[in-house]
Parts: sequence; C-alpha cells; structure tokens
Amino acid sequence: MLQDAPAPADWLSRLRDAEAQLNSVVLGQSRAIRLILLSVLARGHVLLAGDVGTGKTTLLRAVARAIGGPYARVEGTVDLLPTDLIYDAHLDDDGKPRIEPGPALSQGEDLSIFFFNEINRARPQVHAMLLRLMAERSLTAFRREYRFPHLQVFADRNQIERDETFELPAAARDRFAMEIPVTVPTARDDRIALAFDTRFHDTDALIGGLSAGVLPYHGLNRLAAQIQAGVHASPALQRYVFDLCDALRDPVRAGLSVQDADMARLVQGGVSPRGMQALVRVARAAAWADGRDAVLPQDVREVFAPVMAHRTFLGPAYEARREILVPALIRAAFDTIPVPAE
Amino acid sequence: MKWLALALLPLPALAQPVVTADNPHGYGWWLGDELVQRVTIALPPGVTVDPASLPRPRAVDYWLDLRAVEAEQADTGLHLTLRWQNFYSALEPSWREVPAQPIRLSDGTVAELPGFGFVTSPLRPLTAPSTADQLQPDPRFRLIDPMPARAGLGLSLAALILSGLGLAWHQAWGPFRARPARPFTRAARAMARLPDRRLLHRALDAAFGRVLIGADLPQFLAARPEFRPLADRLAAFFAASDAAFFGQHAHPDTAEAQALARDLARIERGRR
Repeated sequence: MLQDAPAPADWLSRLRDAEAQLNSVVLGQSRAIRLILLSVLARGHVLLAGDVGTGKTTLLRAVARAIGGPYARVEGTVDLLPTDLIYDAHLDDDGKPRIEPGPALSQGEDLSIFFFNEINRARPQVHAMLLRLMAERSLTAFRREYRFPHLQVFADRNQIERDETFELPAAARDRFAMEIPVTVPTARDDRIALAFDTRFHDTDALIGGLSAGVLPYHGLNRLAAQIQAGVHASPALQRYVFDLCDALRDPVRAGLSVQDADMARLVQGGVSPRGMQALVRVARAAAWADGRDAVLPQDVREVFAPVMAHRTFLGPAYEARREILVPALIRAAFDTIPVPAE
Repeated sequence: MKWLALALLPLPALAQPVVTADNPHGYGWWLGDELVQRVTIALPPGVTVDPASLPRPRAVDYWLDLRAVEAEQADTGLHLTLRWQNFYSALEPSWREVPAQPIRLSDGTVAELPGFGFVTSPLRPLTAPSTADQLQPDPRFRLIDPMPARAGLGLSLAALILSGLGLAWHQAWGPFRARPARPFTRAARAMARLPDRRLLHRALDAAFGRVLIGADLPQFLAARPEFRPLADRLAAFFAASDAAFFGQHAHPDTAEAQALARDLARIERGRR
C-alpha cells in the first residue's frame, strides 16, 4: 500500500477530528468511541457488548467509515457455518451451481474491517474459524492462503438474550483485545435528541455525513508500530502493570477484597500473556492519543477494565454475578496496588 | 357378707405393734454423755410407722437433748436409734427419767417408744478446792496456711485487670482511643532520613484511603479540602513523579518533595 499516508504529526489531529465527528454522530458514547479508536491505534480486535438498540451497529459502521477501506459484514445465526464466511454457493443464470468468494473474501486481501454482528448467535465452529482469522489475519480458501494485513475484527453481542446463543469460548474471547460495554446514554439531553432529532432517524444518511477515511486504514499498521516503538514504558510502569495483572490472577496474595465473595475461590483464571500484551499496546495508544511519549498509570487505568474484564474467568459460584464482581475486583486492584512502588 | 365385714371391723385395734427397747444401762453417766437407745417396732403386715410422728431431734428438757433419730426399715419391722445427750450437772448421784415418746402407725394406732431412767453423777468432789493448776491447757492451735487464698486473690485481681483492659480496648477507652492516623507526619519524618518521594506517594494513598495517582488529584482535594492551598504544589509533585518514574528523563527534585511533605504534615496536625 503505497498510497499517501499522513505524516506522524498529522495523525494526532486526524484522531481528534475523527473522535469529534464520531461523538457528533453517536451521542453519549464518548468512552466507547475513545476505546474503539484506541483499539484501532493498537490494531486489536474489539467485542462490543451491550443492550439492544444502544447504537452498537451504528457506532461500528461510523468507525468503519472513519477508517475507510473495504469492509465485510456477517450476521450471526444459529445455522451459520464456518464455510458460509468464506464461500458463497449459489445457482448462476444458467442454473449451474457456482462457488464464489464469501463475505470474508469478496473484498480481497485489502479488507480493513470484518464486522460480525451478534457473534454469540453463531455456533462454536464459527468462533473457532474466527480464531485464525483474528490471531493470524489469514485464511485458507480455494487452495491458497489469503492474508489480510489491515484486518480488524469488530464483533458485537447483545447481553439480553440467553436463548439460542453460544457463549464465546475462552480462547475466542482472549483474542479480542477489548470488550467495550455500550450502555444507554445517561445524559437526558442525549436521549431526547436521539429520539426526537430526525438527523438520528436515518442511519445511512447520518453515517454518510461523516468524512470518509479520516484515519486511512492503510497507514494504521505503520502508525501502530511507531506508537508501540515510540511510547516509553518505564520499569516502574512495567512493575505496575505486572502487579495489577498478578493481583487479578491471585487476589488473595495481593490482599484484595470484594464484598460478598471468597477471594480464594473468586478467580479461576485469566490475564493471559496475550492479555497483558494487549493491555500494554492499548495503554501505549492511550498515552499517544493524549499527546504523551510515556505511559502513565492513568493510561493503564483507563483501558484496564475493557482489556481485562472479558479475559477474567470466575469460579462457578460467581460467574453468574460477573457483571458486578469483575468491575469490583478491578476497582479493588487499582485501589490497592501502589504506584510508583518501592 | 355382712358377718365378714363385722368380723374385720375391730381388727386394726387388735394389731398392737410389739415394741422392744434396748435401753442404755442405768448408771455411770456424766455431764455431756451420749445415751443411745435402740428400739425395734415389729409391725403387722401392711402397716408402717407414720414418719411425721417420729420424735424430732430437739431440746426435750433443760438438761436433755434428743440429738438424732435414725430409722431403718427391716423385714421384721422398724429399727429406731435415738441418740440422747445428758446435760444435767449433778451435785450428787441423781436419777433422771427420759420420757416416753408417742408414735402413730399408718392404720391409726398410737403406740409408745418407752422411756428409761439413768443415774448421773458429778464430775469431781463438790468440796475439793478449785486451783489454777486444775485448768487444762488449751488445745494446740492449728495454723491456717493463707497462701492458697492469697494466690487466689492475686489471680482474681489479675483477671479483673485483664478483663478491664480488654473491655477498654474493645470500647476504645482511655489509652486505646485511636489516635488520628497521620500519614503525612510519618512520611515527613521518614523523608528527612531517606529522601524517597515514594514515601510521600504512600502517605497520599493512606490519606486518600486508596491508591492516589495524578489523575485523581481533584477527587482527593474534594475529599480533603484542607489540603486545597497546596493544590498547585501537589499537581507539580505528581507531574514530577510521573516524569521521574514513567518518563524518559528522570531528575526529580527531592528537596521540594520533602518540603511538600512537611507542609502537608503541618496541615494534617492542624497547624496551618
């Protein structure tokens, strides 16, 4: 991709511009927008979790427009097969069966965003196929390997329904750099505007109003590499990140306590090395997005919950209450782990 | 049937118990001696002695006590042991009469425990002179060991003091009243010896109740408004710490951190 990429200094103003535009299109989701943009900067896949009708799809479409580039979209259903993502089988005009590239391949290897709607409706076989696409950004189809260097997977799942849904396996969850909660906007003005302002009624026109390709997708990989190489993470910060992750794995030794939970049995696992890597990548992106050349504890704190919460697996007795317990555990870790430590 | 009833009617009156007494011998008794009388009452079948009618141990007369009455049921009847004590201070040999005692049986018959008599004599000749050497020495006294009682007293006192202390601790009275934690004062002292700005970070954590990072400073000042006059210096401290610990070029000014810790401590003690 030798198209003209913006200069590094130009990127930051483009990021601010994209953030402002997205906030004008999707009201009351400034934190989700911020986190999605950080995932774009860190080249991590994102899982959006939220209630129905909170604008998850609109948000992702808006981000896709801001990034530009080809994007493919799949709706998760119970009968979706892994091959349905790769191949499109149909009858041609002459009535002969034909196999053509499916959603993942039809845009070619330049695919920038693969948007998987309602991922928890698809079966585990589909999740398994996604593992390779997400981890290696490659697929094997038509007897050759396809590589998607610019690919970023966005998936969403709604949390209301439990029927005919399949919980994402731990391995699939771990490959998402972040799980971003999308909640109903809290501000009254935002909610009134979303209901009454006709601008928000036509999603296509709303998204069409965004300037396309503010953050050109073909330059993002290089920008991400520059951010990761350029933003400093000091030994004290490395120690802090390690202490936090360690506390999440072994809350008893770290002296954490959460109301109504036996700390020895609360956490069953989580915080993989991949998770720590994602945390560091996103924290560096957050520091860069704030215009700094070094990661500060507040960057870690800003992104820790979205990066770590969905990778933390609780004991069977506590899994049903994870919506309350995991944030409480993370809060306890930040309240307890000293920084800068001796 | 009428004749049978008539024949049975007077029967209880005929069933007089046979009372045999083994009385003490009739002479040779002195003041204070105990006289043991054994009485056996042979009872018809089905008849018992009404226990309430047995003589009570008591002072029977000014010179005679009945000290104990022991009853023992046997196959043949009731064995009674009556222990009398003589307090008659005789001037010459004298005949005393112990009165008979009535008892009642369960069928309504009244019987008698027989009395008896005895001769009691003076202890010494009435005309003998009284001299001092006739006084007998006191019995040897026995020392009571006070140590167990004293040890018990000591232990009780110790237990009292301990439980008092425990109560005071539990209720946070007196010396157990929690002193206000003064993290900044401690940090200022520690930093005078060891100029490590992380000590002040720990003190800020303690004052905030959780870990305080630079981004939390507004919340900290809202929670502890007394430190607001130092807001700028606190912000500068956090910025310097961020640069020192997380930045690439570290040269923190520890003197300013020490001065800040002292000023925070002064506010903490209410001196400013």
